[in-house]
Amino acid sequence: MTFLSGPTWSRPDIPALLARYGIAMLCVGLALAFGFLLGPDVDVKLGPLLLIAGVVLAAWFTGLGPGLLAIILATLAVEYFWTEPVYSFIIVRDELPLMISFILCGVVGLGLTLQRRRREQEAAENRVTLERRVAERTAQLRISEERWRNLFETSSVGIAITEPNGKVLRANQALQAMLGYEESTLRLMSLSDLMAGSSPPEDLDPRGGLELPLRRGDGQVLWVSLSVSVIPASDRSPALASAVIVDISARRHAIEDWRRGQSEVARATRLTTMGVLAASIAHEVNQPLSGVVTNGQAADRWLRADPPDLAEARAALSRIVRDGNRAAEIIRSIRNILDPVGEEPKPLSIGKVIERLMPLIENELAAQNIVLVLDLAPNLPKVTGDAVQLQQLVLNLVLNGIDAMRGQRTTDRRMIVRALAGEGGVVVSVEDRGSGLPDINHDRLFEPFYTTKAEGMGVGLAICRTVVESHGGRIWAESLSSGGARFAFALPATDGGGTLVP
Amino acid sequence: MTTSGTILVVDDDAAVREALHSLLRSVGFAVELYGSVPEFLARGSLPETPCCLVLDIRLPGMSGLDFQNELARQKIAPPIIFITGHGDIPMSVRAMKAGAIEFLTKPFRDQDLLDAIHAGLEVDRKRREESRGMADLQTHYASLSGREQEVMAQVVTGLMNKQIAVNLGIAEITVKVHRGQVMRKMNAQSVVDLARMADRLGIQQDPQLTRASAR
Repeated sequence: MTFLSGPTWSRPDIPALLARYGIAMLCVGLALAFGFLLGPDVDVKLGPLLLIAGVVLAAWFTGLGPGLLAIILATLAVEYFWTEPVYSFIIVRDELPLMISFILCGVVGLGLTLQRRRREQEAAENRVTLERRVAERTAQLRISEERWRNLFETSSVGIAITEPNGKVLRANQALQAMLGYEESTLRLMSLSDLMAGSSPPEDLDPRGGLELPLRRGDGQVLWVSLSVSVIPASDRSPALASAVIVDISARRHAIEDWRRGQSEVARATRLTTMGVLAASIAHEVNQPLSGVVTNGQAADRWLRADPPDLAEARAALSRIVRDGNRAAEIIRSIRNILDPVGEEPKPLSIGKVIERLMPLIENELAAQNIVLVLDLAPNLPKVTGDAVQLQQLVLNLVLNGIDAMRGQRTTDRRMIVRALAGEGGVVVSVEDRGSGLPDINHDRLFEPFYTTKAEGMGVGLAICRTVVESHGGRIWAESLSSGGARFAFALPATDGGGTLVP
Repeated sequence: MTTSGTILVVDDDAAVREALHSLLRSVGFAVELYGSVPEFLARGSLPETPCCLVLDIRLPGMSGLDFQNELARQKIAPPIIFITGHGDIPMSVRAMKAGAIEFLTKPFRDQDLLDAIHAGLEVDRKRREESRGMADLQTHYASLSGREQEVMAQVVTGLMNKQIAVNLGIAEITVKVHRGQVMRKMNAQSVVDLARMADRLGIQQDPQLTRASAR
């Protein structure tokens, strides 16, 4: 067999070649020796038969070339020992058929043997290839298995493999840590045993994604998000379910805290807003005041002139009265914002709300070189609500816009505040030319504690949404193709039934 | 009190504008009112008479300080008095460094404003006189012939007629005649006077000639 599997068959090297021819001659020699050993006692024709066997043997072990040599040697031996005249190489006509049939037998034996031998060799090669492939596949499978096991064990989310009824079969380390149970304990439980709620869901929803409380080993309640997917049965394994369990306690606590503290936060924000506005207000009150002072001084000079100009003095005095009233009006509107108690929702004009806001932000706008464009459609339907809250809402959006445009080196320094009829009521939008919105779902902007500002708390827009929703409206944000952003809210009209047309 | 001049007021608050209008007219100034920088620019050039700008710092579109820089860049420099609702120190430093006459916080004493305006008008008047004198000087210099300008350039370096004659390759008597013409046309009282004029006109001495005559 070594010759069959060895490479010498296709790529001969000299010593191996000589060895093969040697073996061929040896085979013929052995056959001859056997023939003589048996010769005297058995039929004289046994010798040639043994020689044919020698040829076949030589062909099997050594191949075509040595096989042919064996035939030639065997033919010579038959001619010498078994044909008349015996012990000579002289060929007699009568013996020719015998010789030819002997040679034919040898050649046929050789051909059949070689064919057989090739098949054997191919079969051996196939077997080797097959074995190699099997080894490779096994190694790959082992790597893949290891990878999946690592993924399962080291994943930071909890993963459990369960039977379809929820009985735990495997639990990864994250899940064990999360729940405070060993895997061996978990294997005795089913997912519904872990649930802390009074009425656990009847069957696990294969679409998953429900949030529910679980009870830890130490009795504490843990809020998780659970999603279950079914692994269908195959011919080798029964149906299983895999449950992915994420600890959402921190998020839930934050939301609960936020809900508790929302009113305090709202008040704090209001104060912060007031802080931002303080300079603005000072400026606003200061303008009419300096008008009053200068007009007073002018009136004094007109009266001291010779002759006194009474008409000019009177004009200056009436301007003093007007400017004094304007200062008082500004003070009054500030007091309204600081002390909003006792405001019953009533039908009001959103346009007026926005207009009354303008004096409070003019200074902040001027400081940032922003030109505010007011676009208030005439004859807007009235909306029902709290004027101060709505003012706060628009104010927040405008201040956000100003923040977004702070430090932007754009030549277009417009901010557009627009109020139009639409969506079964009024749509108010605030458009800035600022840095635009982050590339995320814009609804997230209104989530509490989501902020893009370095010093922001992420509550401004959340409060805006609360205000809008408490008025039965909706609020949204969009990026503008020109850069910048538009924040808009819709409020239902007072006589429109109080709900929005979807 | 003699008061002549135009006061240009730029303030976005109508109440302040009107009050200033009344106050400034009560002391006899001509007053023009503008609500913003573009409104002011639409006026075109500055008035011919001495004038003074009363400018609010916070204006929509372009702030008063930016406008001051813009005017300086264009080499139009009317005296500026800033008025502001709440001025901070860096703001006033910046304004004064850029050449403002005064920086007043609203509400201000009327006398402070009027004093600043008088100072501003005085500065503007001087500036105008100076530029008018300069214009006269340039006219006189332009009336000199080429040869006379050459002679003048050498006279003001202190060269004697003889040296000038050698430098220019002309007779000394001719130099004398040119020199007389220069003194007359430039309306100069003395050579020192002429040298001062040359200095103001920025006439460059030819260093080669100076060296040559020194040899």
